[in-house]
Amino acid sequence: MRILKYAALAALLATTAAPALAVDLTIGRSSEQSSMDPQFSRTGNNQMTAEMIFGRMVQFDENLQVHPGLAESWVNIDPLTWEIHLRAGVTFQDGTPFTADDVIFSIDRTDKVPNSPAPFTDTVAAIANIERVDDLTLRVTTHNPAPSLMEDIGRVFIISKQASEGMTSDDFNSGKATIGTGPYRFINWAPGEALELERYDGYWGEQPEFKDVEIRFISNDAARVAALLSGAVDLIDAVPPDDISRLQDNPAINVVSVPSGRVIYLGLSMRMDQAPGVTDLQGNPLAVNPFRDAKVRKAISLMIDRELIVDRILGGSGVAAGQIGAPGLGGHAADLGPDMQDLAMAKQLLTEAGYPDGFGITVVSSNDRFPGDADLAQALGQMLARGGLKVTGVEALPYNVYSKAATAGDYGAFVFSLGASTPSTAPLLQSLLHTYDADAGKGAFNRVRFSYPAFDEALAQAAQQFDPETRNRMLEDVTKMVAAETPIVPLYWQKVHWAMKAGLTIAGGLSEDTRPQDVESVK
Amino acid sequence: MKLTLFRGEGMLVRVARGLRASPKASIALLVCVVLIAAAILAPLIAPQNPYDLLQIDIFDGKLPPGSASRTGSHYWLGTDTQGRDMYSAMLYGLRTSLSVGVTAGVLALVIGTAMGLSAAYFGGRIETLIMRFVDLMLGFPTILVALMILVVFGQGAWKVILALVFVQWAYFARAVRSAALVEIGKDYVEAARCLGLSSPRILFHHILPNCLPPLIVIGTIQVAHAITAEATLSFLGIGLPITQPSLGLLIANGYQVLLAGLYWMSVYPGLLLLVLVFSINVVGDRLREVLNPRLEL
Repeated sequence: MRILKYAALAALLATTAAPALAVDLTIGRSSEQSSMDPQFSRTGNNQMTAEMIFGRMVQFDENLQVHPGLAESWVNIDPLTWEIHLRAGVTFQDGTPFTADDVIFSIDRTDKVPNSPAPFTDTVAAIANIERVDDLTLRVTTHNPAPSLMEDIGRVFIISKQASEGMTSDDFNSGKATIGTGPYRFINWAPGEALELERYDGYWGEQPEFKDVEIRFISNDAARVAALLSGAVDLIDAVPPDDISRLQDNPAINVVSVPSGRVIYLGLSMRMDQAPGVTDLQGNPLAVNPFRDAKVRKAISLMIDRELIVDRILGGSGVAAGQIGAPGLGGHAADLGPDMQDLAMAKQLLTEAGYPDGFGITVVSSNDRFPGDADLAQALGQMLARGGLKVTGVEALPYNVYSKAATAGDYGAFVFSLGASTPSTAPLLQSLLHTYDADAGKGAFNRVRFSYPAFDEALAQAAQQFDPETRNRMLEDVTKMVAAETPIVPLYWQKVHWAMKAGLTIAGGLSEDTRPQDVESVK
Repeated sequence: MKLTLFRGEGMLVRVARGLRASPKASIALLVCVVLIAAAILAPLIAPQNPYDLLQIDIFDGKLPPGSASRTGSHYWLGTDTQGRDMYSAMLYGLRTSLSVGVTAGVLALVIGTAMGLSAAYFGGRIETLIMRFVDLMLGFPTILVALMILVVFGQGAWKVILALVFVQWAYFARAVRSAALVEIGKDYVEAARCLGLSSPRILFHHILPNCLPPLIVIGTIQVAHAITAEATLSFLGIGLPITQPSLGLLIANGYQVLLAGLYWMSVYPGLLLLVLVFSINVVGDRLREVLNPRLEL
């Protein structure tokens, strides 16, 4: 009888003790990864999460410059041949050593993940052959001279061959195959709720400060700010512009702001003969897709007052853009400014294109991807209506629904963004504007299906230049050349803000990642 | 037929007398009438059409109450992020909220009444089938079911109405059935049957009029419920489209900037919703007192 009593007491203690497990750092994040498989999708959300758990051959600093990661050094033996030396003594989180076989396995799997909405294919498209020389040495040959090879294949997340061979994305989501070389180990992911991580003590690099980390996904802006103010989370990202000044005045809160490389743009789909949501003034489908006419695209760009959007919607947290690559990236054309609002010119271009009275258009956007996205879509609706189009609707949807549909081509005029994760504009231009070619991995984000062969050619030539200065100058020329066609309508580059408890800080950069390894106490 | 219940007095007369006897209910009724009139007349009395993208300007966005617009008029209740005049947006929002709520309430009443009457009159398997389904419906939380319907069918005013009808008809069915069961046992129904009248005629001409008092009460309360439920769904972002905000969507939009001190975008629509639902409920409560035969006034 007494034994029973003690057993009951022990059981009671065990159940009450369990939830008391301390978390050292709780992060409130605005948007969630769509998968834990680091090769499933290369959207910013997924890469950000993957960088916590998985290593890559190179690392990018806050200015997106390349540094050695799992590859310690690399040499270019001749224009088509590279030798890569891997870091010795690195182990995966299950204790097995990291070798050349894992790199080959990871690169090989990159373009074979089923149902990927945004594949990494172009990161490995340059490779003709990859072979193992010894445990820690690889030899790579390329189809064409590829000066940016390490920036490209360096973006592939390295997974463990032993742990993930034959595994699906679902096995990564459950944690079964989620074994990397990164600073944190996967503990649990409850989709829509939280991701739990634990510091990996065998990590080869600098140990992060916080051991047990919980990342909560709070898409509602106000709820995220409230969670920080109430102390439920220690740090939040994507602080809404309206809240910045009040949080800065709060002595218990520290705000960190950086300009980001993310460009927000309006896509005008040329993919189909009839653009979704685009009609004549009576609501009937048009005979041709008006967005296939560069004059119409330019006219729409001229209807938009970018400064007003930055000022009114973003509270100043943005820089009006006239091209894709942000200032600071190699290949940014400093003399290519944003289009200024010019309604008379827009009207004239529409008339020349055969739409003197405009046409019907629906603007679609996400509502939780970046600060103010739903407001931006409505403001664009206003501006296009003033510019002479008949705006029949503005829709704002959750990003996980929206991005899938946008990639599938369901929208005619849609707001999207592209984050920078490389030192030059070449990968941005190639993924966003190169003629769509799934097999070659080019134009992976070319959702509007813009195609301009002379631009493709010029971009390929620029990308083959080994001298960075020549390459950047050629990229500037290519940027100006394609801007004349208005392939997409660039709107602005974001400024991003994090807010956290006083006493914490985050090393944020152009990539705007919110990673626990970048958070530390202020000394 | 003339509705003669309760001591030979007409029902409408009794209702009017009962409402007048309570100052609280009279004021609430007046408020309801004013709000309904404002909703119907919104296009005439609102200074701006907030759904017309050409009439709103983000230049005038986020202005506090009382600010002057660029054309010299005043935004007495301020503007929202997009530069909509809050007063106009609230009038139009009221129109949307009321029309969705009333349409859903009336449709649920019609369907629920038909089901409840059939269950009571036919009995047996039909009754079991209907009433067990009603029990099932009442067992689910309203918002959860509405959420599922909207996720499956997508957004839009008619889909919101469909979802609300689907979750509300059961309340009417249950009330009508119990009221009808009492009536069916009475002599006048027996007499009608002996005369060989058809079932529909007995149901709709003899039983239904006598079940009206509870129906009117529940109908009033359920319209208030429908308005609240629509506001909740819109607040959660799955109700009506973003460019045509109902009161719930206005509150949701304003809530995003509430912590930043821009209180007027959510507080004013919130107050309006509160006043509307409160008034309808007060009127409904009074109706219940007036129409309850066991309570003597």
